[in-house]
Amino acid sequence: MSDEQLHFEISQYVDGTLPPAEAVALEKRLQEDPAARRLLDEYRRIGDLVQVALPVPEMDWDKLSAQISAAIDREIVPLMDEAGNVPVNYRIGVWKPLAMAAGVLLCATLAVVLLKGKGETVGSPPTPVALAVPVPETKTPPVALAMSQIQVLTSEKPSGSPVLEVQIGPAPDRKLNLADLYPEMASDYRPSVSIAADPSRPAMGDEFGIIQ
Amino acid sequence: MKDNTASAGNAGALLPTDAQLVEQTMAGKRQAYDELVRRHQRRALAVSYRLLGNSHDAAEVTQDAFLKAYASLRTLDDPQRFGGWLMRIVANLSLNRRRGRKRTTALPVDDILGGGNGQSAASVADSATATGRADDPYQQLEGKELGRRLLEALDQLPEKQRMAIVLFTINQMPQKDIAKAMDSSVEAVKWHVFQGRKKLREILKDLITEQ
Repeated sequence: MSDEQLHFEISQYVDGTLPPAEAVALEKRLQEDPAARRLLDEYRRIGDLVQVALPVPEMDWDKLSAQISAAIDREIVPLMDEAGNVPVNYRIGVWKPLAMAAGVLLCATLAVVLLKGKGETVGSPPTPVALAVPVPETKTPPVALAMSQIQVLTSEKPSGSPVLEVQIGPAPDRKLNLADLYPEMASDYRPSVSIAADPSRPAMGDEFGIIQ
Repeated sequence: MKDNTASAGNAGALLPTDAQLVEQTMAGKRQAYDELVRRHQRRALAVSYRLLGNSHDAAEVTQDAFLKAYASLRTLDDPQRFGGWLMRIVANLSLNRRRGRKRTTALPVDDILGGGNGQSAASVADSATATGRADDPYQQLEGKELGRRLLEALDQLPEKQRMAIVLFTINQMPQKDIAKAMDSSVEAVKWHVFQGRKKLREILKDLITEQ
């Protein structure tokens, strides 16, 4: 057993997380090895120190709890519906879908610009409005997209209702409607967006295609 | 000043459990959540402070965490585990803050800090209370200087090691909960605790041998 392995076992022994059989073997080693016993003692001492001696700032706890309560009444309660649900962007863990939505928006904006750049007449180009993004309910990890990651496969103008498909991976999985993301966008520029993806595993080099 | 540190669900027969308070909150009883805040705010602030080393940021993160927990209460699978769930939120928000991410709420905290605003780890120890027992010999012998040294030592640890040490060794969260909070495995948590402990041993060598 290397020193590192021994030290790791001693650390787990201190924490009570070493499996029983290994703990028995370690106890035998500790009886015979003064250096190991010394390390065990030092690890225990560190644990004692950090548990009893770390300070906590003095607070006016009553005031803190009152402020939190007031903030909830002011910022969260007015947003709740009758069932007590809160808009997702106030909940934990929503940065991931937000990042995904931002990525989709980036692609969509790029596509709109490219479509226009081809000289196609598909209506007046819109000015993107301030985002009020209804974030989809999802637990997918972020699709943090940099411009350099986006590769437009084609910028052909779709016939009929323009459709923008943003492709990350092989299988269509979910759809986002850009009309929801860009509510004031001119109708000709309201593509629906499909993220065809394994959204849990976006990777650098994934290609984004505008597909008719 | 009150110190509301009642432990989750074990504060006596007359006090509701965390699970009951969560259920009452979801049933529309706002005061029930206020009780949860009073019950857990000190621990939440302690976790955040130990991860951030700054009392002003820790107070803001604590407030933010309670707001987000309230808004997300319906996603809590086991209401009895509110405390651990909240600490995960606190830990994650603290790490986000440490990484410089923008906070999501702006609440006034300046007037609730007892020892000055935005105190650093080094300065706050002078106006802080240790979480250990008042009759603990370490406190008596080392007091504020010891607290300051420990905070500075923690601040030198890499992020994952600091989080593992704070949540497991100091706040005694179950390793599986820490693994969830860190988005990693229990084995990885054990390893981070070990590596953090090794570094603390090096940094605090003089204290370890003095005691």
